Parts: sequence; structure tokens; C-alpha cells
Amino acid sequence: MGLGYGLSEQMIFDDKGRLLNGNFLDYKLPTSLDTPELQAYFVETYDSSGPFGNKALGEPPAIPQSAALRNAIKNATGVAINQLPLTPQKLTAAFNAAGLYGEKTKSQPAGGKE
Amino acid sequence: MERELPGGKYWVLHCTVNGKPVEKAVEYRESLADFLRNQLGLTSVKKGCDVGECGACTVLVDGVSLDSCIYLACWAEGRHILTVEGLTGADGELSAVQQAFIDEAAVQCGFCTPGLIMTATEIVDSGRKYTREELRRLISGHLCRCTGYQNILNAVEKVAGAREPEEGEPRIILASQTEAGE
Amino acid sequence: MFDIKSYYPAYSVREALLLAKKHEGARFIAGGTDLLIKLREGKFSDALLIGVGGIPELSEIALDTVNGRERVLCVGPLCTFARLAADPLIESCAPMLGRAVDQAGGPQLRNVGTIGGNVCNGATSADSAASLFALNARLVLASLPEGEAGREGDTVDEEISIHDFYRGPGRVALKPGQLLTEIRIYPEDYEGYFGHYTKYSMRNAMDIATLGCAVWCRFSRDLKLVEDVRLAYGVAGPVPRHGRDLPVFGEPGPGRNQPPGFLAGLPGIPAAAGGRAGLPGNCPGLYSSPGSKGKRRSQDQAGAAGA
Repeated sequence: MGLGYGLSEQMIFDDKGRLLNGNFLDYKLPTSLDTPELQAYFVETYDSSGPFGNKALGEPPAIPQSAALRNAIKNATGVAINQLPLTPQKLTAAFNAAGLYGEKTKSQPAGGKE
Repeated sequence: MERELPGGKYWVLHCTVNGKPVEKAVEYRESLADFLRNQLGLTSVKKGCDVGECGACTVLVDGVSLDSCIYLACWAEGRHILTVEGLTGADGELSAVQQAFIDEAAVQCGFCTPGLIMTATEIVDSGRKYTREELRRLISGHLCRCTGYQNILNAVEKVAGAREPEEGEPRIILASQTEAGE
Repeated sequence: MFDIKSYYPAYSVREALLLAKKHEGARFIAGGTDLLIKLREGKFSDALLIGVGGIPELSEIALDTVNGRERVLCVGPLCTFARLAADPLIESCAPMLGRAVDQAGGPQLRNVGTIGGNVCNGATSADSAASLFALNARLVLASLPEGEAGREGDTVDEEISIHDFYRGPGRVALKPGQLLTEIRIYPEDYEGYFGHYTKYSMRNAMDIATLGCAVWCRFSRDLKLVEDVRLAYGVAGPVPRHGRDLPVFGEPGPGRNQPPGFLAGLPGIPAAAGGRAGLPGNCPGLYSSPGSKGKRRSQDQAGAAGA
């Protein structure tokens, strides 16, 4: 879930606030071929604010993946991108602007349809 | 059904659903998913997107998995249709695929599960063993929001049997790298 | 429920054409994986549909003699993508096509979607399109003769090149009352050739291509000379495009008799290699992996090595 949020899922709205991609073709959920092998480990801590010391397991863990992906890209390329999802279009534009491809080439602006 | 149908709005459909013969009038407008859900009450067939994207509506028609939401009901003429309801044994025992999904915790919200179970049943019935990457490809017609496909693959591998990739077999997971499942 | 006004099943080509003549504005529907989705999206309404999925003679794959030409690969338009991907004749003559259609959508869609429907839908992003362009496919369109008198077996067939078939986004050269009945690939377009189709899409499955590229080439028997290279692109324009006018070829026309240096500059593809060459359909000597007996995987190993 978090991987999709970070890499491919995006709700695209027009200027009147109508959702343009409210279907599974245009809202890009990762398929099984887009998902790597996953391993889940439980970090058992005691959260005093929760009953019996526990806290939510379903939704909050979907948040940090995007941050981790973004930090990994920054670590690998030195380019900090502060927009999600990290689609190839956005990455290409950011890498181009940062001069990673050598001489700057003409490219489409990132996320042209937003 | 006879060929000389006026081609109007209705068709009297004869098919076999979960082993039982069925004779029902269907509208031409009806999709197979609509027919199975509304007319036969087989609500294991889920409508996730109704445009053939998510695979939740997958059923087996003559042993072949397809999205029933974009398959006209009248095309099921003379065919054998299998849904999850048809997988349980006479005294309610679950099929091996169903049991594996439970054992491997491959079900979270459960909406994608019926479709995946039908595809997994097709995979098992093919009698062939697949590598994990090939299994990934075979279930790529299903969208699952909850599980990340991990335990689903474990469950399918458990029932279908896994095979290790051969010496020299490409390991890069490109869509064109794996054998078609059929 | 789909917005279908009426549906007429046909069980022969002639019946389909007669139904089309009788019901003006009716569309042919095969697997329905394009048409029914368009109906759901409201792209048209009150549909009159003629179901051609039940016509038996339209789902054959064979090497036939056509107009005195032997070994013409004839593909019926009702062949599903799954069938094409697994068919041994396609595998030996035009494996790139089988691999290309194996990348469309997901397994369930490939079990129902047909190549004829894919071609007639006219989308530049069609996964079969770039490969068929590189293969110089020719399409047979059947229609009723003028002044139809209702005799059995009479249809008028027109053969058109796929290059002329795509007219614009979603538009093909199919006149009302015409039905695609065969896709032909002539032996000069597949014998001795090998190639690869690459689909670039946002996701690895269930996605329409963002760009598709088919490469189809033939080397000389001694593997020292490139005799023909064909490039075709999907999504690079409103219709699939043949790369024959690309500047890389120097002058218009495919790169005939280019010295090996032309391809040697591209990563992964050797200009000369040992192995068996000249077998009809492909050159397994270049691309066999040890132990695989010319299986489909061997082709893509080269594609992957070059990727």
C-alpha cells in the first residue's frame, strides 16, 4: 500500500475539483508484478496511549514507505524530490534539472496533467 | 439455444453453473457478473471496478479464468461456469486452494480473494509447476490493496507447488520473460 | 448492465455481413474487452452489436498458400491473446508477436481479448500494433458483393496493408459492412527474421503502453551483414509508426546491407556470433540459452541482455 502511494498512485483533479481518474486503469495501484518480495517484522513497543499498550497496525505503517523511497533516491542521486508519487516523469524532470544527464535536455514538465 | 433467435433483447441461456444445469432468461445487456450475482445469488463474484481491471469478478468459464464483468451473460451459452461457491465439497469442506489461503493468512479485507481463488484454482488445475516469478505473472490480473501479494503467492505456491528456475533461465522479471500460463 | 440496445449473434462471416447490412450503425463485437469497456465509460450508447465471437473459421492459425504464395502465416482475428502467446506456429514464425500480445493487460484479459478486436479498435497503444507493423502484416476485409442476392458463400475480400489500415486515433480503414477475416504475414516478412517487442508502461501489468517498440531484423547467413532492420513504434504518434523514415537509417527505407558496425554500436547485440543461422523464422544460434531447446525464453534473454 505504501509503495503504491509513493511510486504510482495519484488522484488527479481538474480545476473544478472533479476527480479525473476514478477508475482502476488510471489510478495506478501496484500489481503483483510491481511489488517486490516483502518481509514484515513486528517492532514490539509499549505505547502508553493505547489500550494494553498497543497501537494501530493497519494504516499508520502505510505512511513511511514514501519517505523511505524519497530518501533512498536522495541518497543515491543527491536529488531531493518533495512531491509524490515518485513517477518516472517526475524523476526524469528532477534529474534533468539537477544536471544528472550531463547537458540539460529539453523535457516535458513534471506531472503535466495535474 | 437455437440459432434463429430474433436477436432482440432476451436470450434463454442454458449453461452449467457450479455443476448444476441452469436455464434462465438473460438480457443481452447483462454481464456474466450481473447474471451470477443478481439472478443466481452467487455473490462471491465481486464487482470491484466493472471495467475488467481489478480481477475481483474472475470466474472460470470452461476452466479458463476471465473477468465476468466485461463478459456478456449470453456468451456463457453451453459453458461450464465455476465460482467460489462451487469449490466447497458436499459437506462444506473447503478446497485445497481455499484452505491454503486461510493457512497462509492471504486474506485481509477479502474483496480480491474470490477472484484470486478462482485464478489459483486454474493454476492448480493446470497440473504444472511454476516459479515464483511466473506465479506473480499469473496473478497479475488481480489488484490487491491490502496484502502486497506476499501471502497470496505463498498460498498459491503451497498448493500449486513451486519450481526453481532452470539453469540459465532469465531472472529479470520482465513481462515478456515468463511462460504464458495456458 | 451495459447500454446495449440489441445484440445479434452471427455464426458465419456471411451472416455477420448480412446482419451488418440489415442493422445500420451496428458494430461487430468479438471478445468485447475494448468495446464493453467503452460502453461502460459512456463513449457511445444504445449499442447495436453483432456478435462474431462464434464464427469458427475466424479462429485458425495456419500456414496457407495464398494467391500462389506458399507458407503465408494466416491468423484468424478471433484468436485470443493467450492462444497467440502459446501457439507453436506463431512461436516459430513470428515469436515477437506472441510475446507482444502476451504483455497486454492481465491473464484474464488475454483469455478473452482477440487480435482482430485489438487491430480494429484502432488504438495506437495496441500491443499487437507495433509488431504487426514490423511484420508488414496484411489484413483481409470481407464484405458483401454489390447487389447482394443472398447466395451462400459469396463475399468480396480486400487485402490491405496494416500501414494503410490505421487512419487516426481510434479510426481504421474499415468501411461499414466490412469484417476483418484474416491477418496475413507473408514469408518474406518473417523467414530468417528475429526480433523483440518492448512495452514501456507505468506498471508491469494491466497497463496500456506508454511506449511500445518492435524491432525485427534479418542478418545474412554468415551473420556478418544486417540485411534488414524494421522498427515500429506504438504510442509515438496518433497511429503506430514505422521507423523506416528515421534518420538513423541514412536514407529512406530499411537499413539494407548495412555493415555490422551499425548494430555493433548498440549494447548487447553482437555484430557476428557463432551458432546456427538461416533457420526459418529466427536465428536461435544467437540467442539460445544453454539447455533451452529454442523455447520462447531464449529470445528474450537477448532482449534482456540488451535492455
